[in-house]
Amino acid sequence: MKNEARRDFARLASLSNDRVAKNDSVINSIENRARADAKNTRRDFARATLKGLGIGAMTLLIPLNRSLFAASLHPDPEREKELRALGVAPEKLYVFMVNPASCIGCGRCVVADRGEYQVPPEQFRTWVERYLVDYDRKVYVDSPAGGENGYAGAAPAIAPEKIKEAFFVPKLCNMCDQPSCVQVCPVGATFRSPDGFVLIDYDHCVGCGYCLQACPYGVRFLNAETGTADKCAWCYHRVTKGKNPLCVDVCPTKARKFGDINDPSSEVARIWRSRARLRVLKEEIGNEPSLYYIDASEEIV
Amino acid sequence: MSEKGKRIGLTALIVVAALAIVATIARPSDWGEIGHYRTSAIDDELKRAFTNRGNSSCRECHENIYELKGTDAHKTLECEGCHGAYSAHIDAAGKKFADMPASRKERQIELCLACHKHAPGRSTELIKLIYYPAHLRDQNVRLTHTCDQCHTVHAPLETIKRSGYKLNQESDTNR
Repeated sequence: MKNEARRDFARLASLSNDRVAKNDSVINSIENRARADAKNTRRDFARATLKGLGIGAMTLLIPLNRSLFAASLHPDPEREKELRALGVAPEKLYVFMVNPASCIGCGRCVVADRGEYQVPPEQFRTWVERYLVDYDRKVYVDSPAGGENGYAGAAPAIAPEKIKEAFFVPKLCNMCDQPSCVQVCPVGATFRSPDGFVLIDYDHCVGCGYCLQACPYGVRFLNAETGTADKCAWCYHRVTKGKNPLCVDVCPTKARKFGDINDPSSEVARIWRSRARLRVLKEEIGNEPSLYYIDASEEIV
Repeated sequence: MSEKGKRIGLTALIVVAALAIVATIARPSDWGEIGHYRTSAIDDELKRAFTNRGNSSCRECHENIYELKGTDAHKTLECEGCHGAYSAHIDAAGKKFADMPASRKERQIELCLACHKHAPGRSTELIKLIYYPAHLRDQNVRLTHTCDQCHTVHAPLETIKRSGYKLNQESDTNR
Protein backbone atom coordinates (compact mmCIF):
# COMPACT_ATOMS: atom_id res chain seq x y z
CA MET A 1 0.00 0.00 0.00
CA LYS A 2 2.67 2.44 1.09
CA ASN A 3 5.14 1.32 -1.57
CA GLU A 4 2.47 1.66 -4.21
CA ALA A 5 1.73 5.18 -3.10
CA ARG A 6 5.39 6.00 -3.13
CA ARG A 7 5.71 4.63 -6.67
CA ASP A 8 2.69 6.64 -7.77
CA PHE A 9 4.14 9.84 -6.42
CA ALA A 10 7.50 9.07 -8.02
CA ARG A 11 5.80 8.64 -11.37
CA LEU A 12 3.80 11.81 -10.81
CA ALA A 13 7.01 13.70 -10.20
CA SER A 14 8.71 12.26 -13.24
CA LEU A 15 5.76 13.08 -15.49
CA SER A 16 5.84 16.71 -14.46
CA ASN A 17 9.48 16.84 -15.37
CA ASP A 18 9.65 16.36 -19.13
CA ARG A 19 13.38 15.75 -19.29
CA VAL A 20 13.27 13.00 -16.69
CA ALA A 21 10.20 11.46 -18.28
CA LYS A 22 12.01 11.08 -21.58
CA ASN A 23 14.74 9.08 -19.89
CA ASP A 24 12.24 6.79 -18.25
CA SER A 25 11.77 3.73 -20.39
CA VAL A 26 8.40 2.85 -18.84
CA ILE A 27 6.98 6.27 -19.55
CA ASN A 28 8.44 6.12 -23.05
CA SER A 29 6.66 2.90 -23.85
CA ILE A 30 3.37 4.39 -22.63
CA GLU A 31 3.98 7.42 -24.76
CA ASN A 32 4.66 5.28 -27.82
CA ARG A 33 1.37 3.55 -27.31
CA ALA A 34 -0.35 6.94 -26.95
CA ARG A 35 1.28 8.22 -30.14
CA ALA A 36 -0.06 5.22 -32.03
CA ASP A 37 -3.55 6.40 -31.18
CA ALA A 38 -3.96 9.24 -33.67
CA LYS A 39 -6.77 11.00 -31.72
CA ASN A 40 -4.74 11.56 -28.55
CA THR A 41 -1.88 13.97 -28.31
CA ARG A 42 0.86 13.38 -25.79
CA ARG A 43 -0.38 16.38 -23.84
CA ASP A 44 -3.90 14.91 -23.51
CA PHE A 45 -2.48 11.65 -22.34
CA ALA A 46 -0.26 13.23 -19.70
CA ARG A 47 -3.19 15.33 -18.45
CA ALA A 48 -5.48 12.33 -18.17
CA THR A 49 -2.82 10.30 -16.36
CA LEU A 50 -2.13 13.08 -13.92
CA LYS A 51 -5.83 13.47 -13.18
CA GLY A 52 -6.20 9.75 -12.52
CA LEU A 53 -3.18 9.66 -10.26
CA GLY A 54 -4.41 12.71 -8.38
CA ILE A 55 -7.78 11.14 -7.65
CA GLY A 56 -6.08 7.88 -6.71
CA ALA A 57 -3.78 9.67 -4.28
CA MET A 58 -6.76 11.37 -2.63
CA THR A 59 -8.19 7.99 -1.57
CA LEU A 60 -5.12 7.66 0.67
CA LEU A 61 -6.50 10.47 2.77
CA ILE A 62 -9.56 8.44 3.81
CA PRO A 63 -9.12 7.55 7.51
CA LEU A 64 -8.01 4.00 8.01
CA ASN A 65 -9.90 3.24 11.21
CA ARG A 66 -13.27 2.85 9.60
CA SER A 67 -14.75 0.77 12.38
CA LEU A 68 -14.05 3.26 15.12
CA PHE A 69 -15.56 6.13 13.19
CA ALA A 70 -18.54 4.07 12.12
CA ALA A 71 -19.32 2.88 15.62
CA SER A 72 -19.08 6.25 17.32
CA LEU A 73 -20.70 8.42 14.69
CA HIS A 74 -23.27 6.15 13.07
CA PRO A 75 -24.76 3.77 15.63
CA ASP A 76 -26.46 0.73 14.20
CA PRO A 77 -30.13 0.74 15.36
CA GLU A 78 -30.33 -3.06 15.16
CA ARG A 79 -27.30 -3.44 17.41
CA GLU A 80 -28.67 -0.84 19.79
CA LYS A 81 -31.90 -2.79 20.23
CA GLU A 82 -29.97 -5.97 21.04
CA LEU A 83 -27.88 -4.14 23.58
CA ARG A 84 -30.86 -2.59 25.34
CA ALA A 85 -32.42 -6.06 25.62
CA LEU A 86 -29.31 -7.20 27.49
CA GLY A 87 -29.25 -4.19 29.74
CA VAL A 88 -26.00 -2.98 28.20
CA ALA A 89 -25.49 0.68 27.43
CA PRO A 90 -24.93 0.73 23.67
CA GLU A 91 -23.32 4.13 23.68
CA LYS A 92 -20.29 2.55 25.33
CA LEU A 93 -17.51 1.54 22.97
CA TYR A 94 -14.69 -0.12 24.83
CA VAL A 95 -11.16 -0.02 23.54
CA PHE A 96 -7.90 -1.25 24.97
CA MET A 97 -4.71 0.70 24.49
CA VAL A 98 -1.18 -0.47 25.18
CA ASN A 99 1.77 1.85 25.43
CA PRO A 100 4.89 -0.22 24.69
CA ALA A 101 7.11 2.68 25.73
CA SER A 102 5.79 2.48 29.32
CA CYS A 103 6.08 -1.28 29.77
CA ILE A 104 9.00 -2.43 31.91
CA GLY A 105 8.35 -6.14 31.51
CA CYS A 106 7.70 -6.85 35.18
CA GLY A 107 5.05 -9.48 34.42
CA ARG A 108 2.54 -8.37 37.10
CA CYS A 109 -0.24 -8.53 34.47
CA VAL A 110 0.56 -12.14 33.61
CA VAL A 111 0.59 -13.16 37.28
CA ALA A 112 -2.70 -11.40 38.06
CA ASP A 113 -4.35 -12.84 34.98
CA ARG A 114 -3.28 -16.37 35.87
CA GLY A 115 -4.94 -15.95 39.27
CA GLU A 116 -8.13 -14.37 37.96
CA TYR A 117 -8.84 -17.05 35.38
CA GLN A 118 -6.99 -20.03 36.90
CA VAL A 119 -4.91 -20.34 33.75
CA PRO A 120 -2.96 -23.64 33.72
CA PRO A 121 0.82 -23.40 34.02
CA GLU A 122 2.75 -22.58 30.82
CA GLN A 123 -0.40 -21.28 29.16
CA PHE A 124 -1.23 -17.60 28.80
CA ARG A 125 -4.26 -15.43 28.21
CA THR A 126 -1.96 -12.44 28.20
CA TRP A 127 1.81 -12.31 28.01
CA VAL A 128 4.65 -9.86 27.50
CA GLU A 129 7.07 -10.08 24.58
CA ARG A 130 10.37 -8.30 24.25
CA TYR A 131 11.48 -7.01 20.88
CA LEU A 132 15.21 -6.62 20.34
CA VAL A 133 16.37 -4.80 17.23
CA ASP A 134 20.04 -4.99 16.23
CA TYR A 135 22.04 -2.56 14.11
CA ASP A 136 21.08 -4.40 10.91
CA ARG A 137 17.39 -3.78 11.76
CA LYS A 138 16.98 -7.49 12.40
CA VAL A 139 14.28 -8.22 14.97
CA TYR A 140 14.52 -10.82 17.73
CA VAL A 141 11.53 -11.53 19.92
CA ASP A 142 11.82 -13.29 23.27
CA SER A 143 9.31 -14.02 25.98
CA PRO A 144 10.79 -16.19 28.74
CA ALA A 145 7.85 -17.83 30.58
CA GLY A 146 5.57 -15.28 28.94
CA GLY A 147 7.37 -12.56 30.88
CA GLU A 148 5.69 -13.81 34.04
CA ASN A 149 8.83 -13.67 36.19
CA GLY A 150 10.00 -10.40 34.74
CA TYR A 151 12.95 -10.11 32.43
CA ALA A 152 15.54 -9.78 35.17
CA GLY A 153 16.87 -13.31 35.08
CA ALA A 154 16.57 -13.88 31.36
CA ALA A 155 19.53 -13.43 29.04
CA PRO A 156 18.53 -11.57 25.86
CA ALA A 157 18.54 -13.46 22.54
CA ILE A 158 21.47 -11.39 21.27
CA ALA A 159 24.51 -9.88 22.99
CA PRO A 160 23.68 -6.59 24.78
CA GLU A 161 26.22 -4.59 22.75
CA LYS A 162 24.45 -5.61 19.52
CA ILE A 163 21.06 -4.28 20.68
CA LYS A 164 20.10 -1.00 19.09
CA GLU A 165 16.56 -0.83 20.39
CA ALA A 166 14.63 -2.90 22.88
CA PHE A 167 11.06 -2.64 24.04
CA PHE A 168 8.35 -4.70 25.65
CA VAL A 169 5.07 -5.49 23.95
CA PRO A 170 2.20 -6.82 26.07
CA LYS A 171 -0.05 -9.13 24.07
CA LEU A 172 -3.70 -10.01 24.67
CA CYS A 173 -6.94 -10.57 22.78
CA ASN A 174 -7.43 -7.97 20.04
CA MET A 175 -11.28 -8.10 20.31
CA CYS A 176 -11.72 -7.80 16.57
CA ASP A 177 -14.80 -6.24 15.03
CA GLN A 178 -14.50 -8.89 12.33
CA PRO A 179 -13.19 -11.85 14.35
CA SER A 180 -11.98 -14.78 12.26
CA CYS A 181 -12.21 -17.12 15.27
CA VAL A 182 -15.98 -16.55 15.42
CA GLN A 183 -16.32 -17.09 11.70
CA VAL A 184 -14.70 -20.53 11.75
CA CYS A 185 -16.23 -22.00 14.93
CA PRO A 186 -18.28 -24.98 13.73
CA VAL A 187 -20.57 -25.13 16.77
CA GLY A 188 -21.13 -21.45 17.58
CA ALA A 189 -19.18 -21.70 20.83
CA THR A 190 -17.33 -18.48 20.30
CA PHE A 191 -19.17 -15.31 19.47
CA ARG A 192 -19.08 -11.57 19.50
CA SER A 193 -21.38 -10.27 22.23
CA PRO A 194 -23.67 -7.31 21.46
CA ASP A 195 -21.37 -5.00 23.41
CA GLY A 196 -18.41 -5.97 21.24
CA PHE A 197 -16.58 -8.60 23.31
CA VAL A 198 -15.46 -11.82 21.65
CA LEU A 199 -16.31 -14.49 24.23
CA ILE A 200 -16.23 -18.28 24.51
CA ASP A 201 -19.10 -20.52 25.55
CA TYR A 202 -17.09 -23.03 27.57
CA ASP A 203 -20.03 -25.42 27.92
CA HIS A 204 -20.58 -25.54 24.18
CA CYS A 205 -16.99 -25.68 22.91
CA VAL A 206 -15.95 -29.10 21.56
CA GLY A 207 -12.24 -28.25 21.60
CA CYS A 208 -11.61 -28.80 17.90
CA GLY A 209 -8.99 -26.07 17.83
CA TYR A 210 -10.06 -24.51 14.56
CA CYS A 211 -10.21 -21.05 16.16
CA LEU A 212 -6.63 -21.42 17.38
CA GLN A 213 -5.52 -21.61 13.78
CA ALA A 214 -7.83 -18.86 12.59
CA CYS A 215 -6.70 -16.23 15.09
CA PRO A 216 -4.10 -14.08 13.35
CA TYR A 217 -2.70 -12.93 16.69
CA GLY A 218 -2.16 -16.32 18.31
CA VAL A 219 -4.00 -15.39 21.49
CA ARG A 220 -6.05 -18.59 21.67
CA PHE A 221 -4.98 -21.86 23.25
CA LEU A 222 -6.52 -25.19 24.21
CA ASN A 223 -6.88 -25.05 27.98
CA ALA A 224 -4.98 -28.06 29.32
CA GLU A 225 -7.40 -28.48 32.24
CA THR A 226 -10.81 -27.93 30.66
CA GLY A 227 -9.96 -29.13 27.14
CA THR A 228 -11.80 -26.23 25.55
CA ALA A 229 -10.50 -23.27 23.60
CA ASP A 230 -9.59 -20.35 25.83
CA LYS A 231 -8.42 -16.78 25.48
CA CYS A 232 -8.38 -13.36 27.10
CA ALA A 233 -11.85 -11.82 27.55
CA TRP A 234 -10.72 -8.34 28.63
CA CYS A 235 -12.14 -9.33 32.05
CA TYR A 236 -15.72 -9.12 30.80
CA HIS A 237 -17.05 -9.91 34.30
CA ARG A 238 -15.17 -6.92 35.75
CA VAL A 239 -15.77 -4.48 32.92
CA THR A 240 -19.53 -5.02 32.98
CA LYS A 241 -19.48 -4.10 36.68
CA GLY A 242 -17.69 -0.84 36.03
CA LYS A 243 -14.13 -1.99 36.82
CA ASN A 244 -11.05 -2.09 34.65
CA PRO A 245 -9.64 -5.37 33.40
CA LEU A 246 -7.36 -6.71 36.11
CA CYS A 247 -4.16 -6.35 34.10
CA VAL A 248 -4.91 -2.63 33.68
CA ASP A 249 -5.32 -2.21 37.43
CA VAL A 250 -2.14 -4.05 38.41
CA CYS A 251 0.13 -2.41 35.83
CA PRO A 252 2.57 -0.25 37.85
CA THR A 253 3.51 2.01 34.93
CA LYS A 254 0.02 2.33 33.39
CA ALA A 255 1.24 0.83 30.13
CA ARG A 256 -2.19 -0.75 29.73
CA LYS A 257 -5.20 1.52 29.36
CA PHE A 258 -8.84 0.63 29.02
CA GLY A 259 -12.01 2.62 28.69
CA ASP A 260 -15.04 3.81 26.80
CA ILE A 261 -13.98 5.89 23.85
CA ASN A 262 -17.40 7.53 23.61
CA ASP A 263 -16.91 9.06 27.05
CA PRO A 264 -14.92 12.24 26.35
CA SER A 265 -13.52 12.36 29.88
CA SER A 266 -11.97 8.89 29.70
CA GLU A 267 -8.24 8.48 29.28
CA VAL A 268 -8.58 6.46 26.08
CA ALA A 269 -10.73 9.20 24.52
CA ARG A 270 -8.11 11.75 25.49
CA ILE A 271 -5.38 9.66 23.85
CA TRP A 272 -7.62 9.13 20.82
CA ARG A 273 -7.91 12.91 20.40
CA SER A 274 -4.23 13.50 21.10
CA ARG A 275 -1.42 13.42 18.59
CA ALA A 276 -0.38 9.94 19.67
CA ARG A 277 -0.37 7.55 16.77
CA LEU A 278 -2.62 4.57 17.39
CA ARG A 279 -1.89 1.43 15.46
CA VAL A 280 -3.41 -2.03 15.33
CA LEU A 281 -1.61 -5.29 14.68
CA LYS A 282 -1.73 -6.73 11.16
CA GLU A 283 -4.11 -4.08 9.90
CA GLU A 284 -3.97 -5.44 6.35
CA ILE A 285 -5.78 -8.62 7.41
CA GLY A 286 -8.96 -6.62 8.01
CA ASN A 287 -9.95 -8.05 11.40
CA GLU A 288 -10.38 -4.52 12.72
CA PRO A 289 -9.06 -4.99 16.27
CA SER A 290 -10.12 -2.82 19.20
CA LEU A 291 -6.68 -3.17 20.76
CA TYR A 292 -4.47 -0.22 19.90
CA TYR A 293 -0.74 0.17 20.37
CA ILE A 294 0.26 3.73 21.14
CA ASP A 295 3.08 5.06 18.95
CA ALA A 296 4.02 1.52 18.07
CA SER A 297 7.09 1.07 15.92
CA GLU A 298 7.05 -0.77 12.61
CA GLU A 299 8.45 -3.96 14.15
CA ILE A 300 5.40 -4.39 16.40
CA VAL A 301 2.67 -4.03 13.78
CA MET B 1 -43.24 -46.93 -7.43
CA SER B 2 -41.12 -50.06 -7.10
CA GLU B 3 -40.69 -51.91 -3.81
CA LYS B 4 -37.03 -50.85 -3.70
CA GLY B 5 -37.89 -47.18 -4.24
CA LYS B 6 -40.42 -47.25 -1.42
CA ARG B 7 -37.85 -48.75 0.96
CA ILE B 8 -35.24 -46.11 0.11
CA GLY B 9 -37.80 -43.34 0.53
CA LEU B 10 -38.94 -44.66 3.91
CA THR B 11 -35.35 -44.99 5.17
CA ALA B 12 -34.55 -41.43 4.09
CA LEU B 13 -37.69 -40.18 5.87
CA ILE B 14 -36.74 -41.97 9.09
CA VAL B 15 -33.19 -40.59 8.98
CA VAL B 16 -34.40 -37.02 8.43
CA ALA B 17 -36.97 -37.33 11.21
CA ALA B 18 -34.37 -38.75 13.59
CA LEU B 19 -31.96 -35.91 12.79
CA ALA B 20 -34.71 -33.35 13.31
CA ILE B 21 -35.56 -34.84 16.72
CA VAL B 22 -31.89 -34.93 17.78
CA ALA B 23 -31.38 -31.33 16.62
CA THR B 24 -34.41 -30.17 18.61
CA ILE B 25 -33.29 -31.92 21.78
CA ALA B 26 -29.60 -31.03 21.48
CA ARG B 27 -30.03 -27.37 20.66
CA PRO B 28 -30.08 -25.15 23.76
CA SER B 29 -33.45 -23.45 24.33
CA ASP B 30 -31.99 -19.95 24.12
CA TRP B 31 -29.98 -20.61 20.98
CA GLY B 32 -29.96 -17.92 18.34
CA GLU B 33 -31.86 -15.21 20.24
CA ILE B 34 -29.22 -12.60 19.47
CA GLY B 35 -26.82 -14.39 17.20
CA HIS B 36 -25.47 -17.82 16.36
CA TYR B 37 -24.77 -18.68 20.00
CA ARG B 38 -26.29 -19.44 23.39
CA THR B 39 -27.53 -16.21 25.00
CA SER B 40 -26.91 -17.57 28.50
CA ALA B 41 -23.21 -17.96 27.65
CA ILE B 42 -22.97 -14.21 28.30
CA ASP B 43 -24.54 -14.69 31.73
CA ASP B 44 -22.08 -17.51 32.49
CA GLU B 45 -19.21 -15.14 31.78
CA LEU B 46 -20.82 -12.42 33.91
CA LYS B 47 -21.06 -14.79 36.89
CA ARG B 48 -17.30 -15.27 37.08
CA ALA B 49 -15.96 -14.41 40.55
CA PHE B 50 -13.55 -11.57 41.23
CA THR B 51 -10.23 -12.61 42.75
CA ASN B 52 -8.81 -9.12 43.26
CA ARG B 53 -10.70 -6.40 45.05
CA GLY B 54 -8.27 -3.52 44.58
CA ASN B 55 -6.42 -1.21 46.96
CA SER B 56 -9.51 0.50 48.33
CA SER B 57 -10.65 -2.84 49.71
CA CYS B 58 -7.27 -3.41 51.44
CA ARG B 59 -7.47 0.09 52.88
CA GLU B 60 -10.53 -0.78 54.93
CA CYS B 61 -8.32 -2.73 57.35
CA HIS B 62 -4.76 -1.65 56.51
CA GLU B 63 -5.19 2.12 56.49
CA ASN B 64 -1.67 2.90 57.85
CA ILE B 65 0.12 0.91 55.16
CA TYR B 66 -2.13 2.35 52.47
CA GLU B 67 -1.18 5.86 53.54
CA LEU B 68 2.52 5.06 53.83
CA LYS B 69 2.49 3.55 50.33
CA GLY B 70 0.81 6.65 48.95
CA THR B 71 3.73 8.85 49.99
CA ASP B 72 6.40 7.29 47.80
CA ALA B 73 7.25 5.71 44.45
CA HIS B 74 5.30 2.53 45.13
CA LYS B 75 1.98 4.37 45.17
CA THR B 76 1.08 3.04 41.71
CA LEU B 77 1.37 -0.58 42.83
CA GLU B 78 -1.54 -2.85 43.63
CA CYS B 79 -1.35 -4.46 47.07
CA GLU B 80 -2.50 -7.73 45.59
CA GLY B 81 0.34 -7.67 43.06
CA CYS B 82 2.83 -8.63 45.78
CA HIS B 83 0.60 -10.08 48.51
CA GLY B 84 -1.71 -12.29 46.45
CA ALA B 85 -5.38 -11.94 45.64
CA TYR B 86 -8.11 -11.05 48.12
CA SER B 87 -9.86 -14.31 47.32
CA ALA B 88 -6.92 -16.18 48.89
CA HIS B 89 -6.80 -13.89 51.93
CA ILE B 90 -9.17 -15.87 54.13
CA ASP B 91 -9.05 -19.66 54.03
CA ALA B 92 -11.86 -22.15 54.59
CA ALA B 93 -11.28 -22.17 58.36
CA GLY B 94 -11.69 -18.37 58.49
CA LYS B 95 -8.01 -17.77 59.19
CA LYS B 96 -6.52 -14.70 57.55
CA PHE B 97 -3.23 -14.95 55.69
CA ALA B 98 -1.46 -13.35 52.78
CA ASP B 99 1.68 -13.80 50.72
CA MET B 100 4.40 -11.97 52.68
CA PRO B 101 7.37 -11.89 50.33
CA ALA B 102 9.48 -9.84 52.75
CA SER B 103 9.53 -12.73 55.19
CA ARG B 104 11.45 -14.99 52.82
CA LYS B 105 14.84 -13.75 51.71
CA GLU B 106 15.14 -15.26 48.22
CA ARG B 107 11.51 -14.58 47.39
CA GLN B 108 11.85 -10.95 48.44
CA ILE B 109 14.96 -10.29 46.33
CA GLU B 110 13.44 -12.10 43.36
CA LEU B 111 10.26 -10.03 43.59
CA CYS B 112 12.06 -6.70 43.86
CA LEU B 113 14.40 -7.52 40.99
CA ALA B 114 11.51 -8.60 38.76
CA CYS B 115 10.95 -4.88 38.27
CA HIS B 116 14.16 -3.17 39.41
CA LYS B 117 16.98 -5.06 37.70
CA HIS B 118 18.56 -3.64 34.56
CA ALA B 119 17.44 -5.51 31.44
CA PRO B 120 17.46 -4.55 27.76
CA GLY B 121 14.25 -2.63 27.08
CA ARG B 122 13.87 -1.19 30.57
CA SER B 123 14.14 2.54 30.81
CA THR B 124 15.55 4.37 33.82
CA GLU B 125 13.08 7.14 33.03
CA LEU B 126 10.25 4.88 34.14
CA ILE B 127 11.71 3.06 37.09
CA LYS B 128 14.74 2.96 39.36
CA LEU B 129 17.00 0.23 37.99
CA ILE B 130 19.95 -1.45 39.66
CA TYR B 131 22.61 -4.05 38.96
CA TYR B 132 22.56 -6.86 41.45
CA PRO B 133 24.58 -7.56 43.55
CA ALA B 134 26.79 -4.61 42.45
CA HIS B 135 24.23 -2.27 44.02
CA LEU B 136 24.93 -3.74 47.47
CA ARG B 137 28.68 -3.32 47.04
CA ASP B 138 28.33 0.26 45.82
CA GLN B 139 26.13 1.25 48.73
CA ASN B 140 28.67 -0.23 51.17
CA VAL B 141 26.50 -2.98 52.61
CA ARG B 142 27.06 -6.71 52.95
CA LEU B 143 26.21 -8.90 49.96
CA THR B 144 23.90 -10.92 52.19
CA HIS B 145 21.63 -7.92 52.75
CA THR B 146 18.01 -8.15 51.70
CA CYS B 147 16.31 -5.19 50.03
CA ASP B 148 14.14 -4.38 53.05
CA GLN B 149 17.16 -3.89 55.30
CA CYS B 150 17.58 -0.46 53.71
CA HIS B 151 14.31 0.12 51.86
CA THR B 152 10.90 0.16 53.49
CA VAL B 153 9.12 -2.07 51.00
CA HIS B 154 5.95 0.06 50.94
CA ALA B 155 7.82 3.38 50.66
CA PRO B 156 11.26 2.55 49.26
CA LEU B 157 13.17 5.72 50.11
CA GLU B 158 11.39 6.61 53.35
CA THR B 159 13.98 5.39 55.88
CA ILE B 160 16.92 6.34 53.67
CA LYS B 161 15.70 9.92 53.35
CA ARG B 162 15.10 10.11 57.09
CA SER B 163 18.57 8.76 57.91
CA GLY B 164 20.21 11.45 55.75
CA TYR B 165 22.36 8.80 54.06
CA LYS B 166 23.87 10.07 50.81
CA LEU B 167 23.09 7.56 48.08
CA ASN B 168 25.69 6.55 45.54
CA GLN B 169 23.50 7.46 42.55
CA GLU B 170 26.27 7.01 39.97
CA SER B 171 26.72 3.33 40.60
CA ASP B 172 23.43 2.16 39.09
CA THR B 173 23.58 4.10 35.87
CA ASN B 174 27.21 3.96 34.69
CA ARG B 175 28.10 0.40 34.04
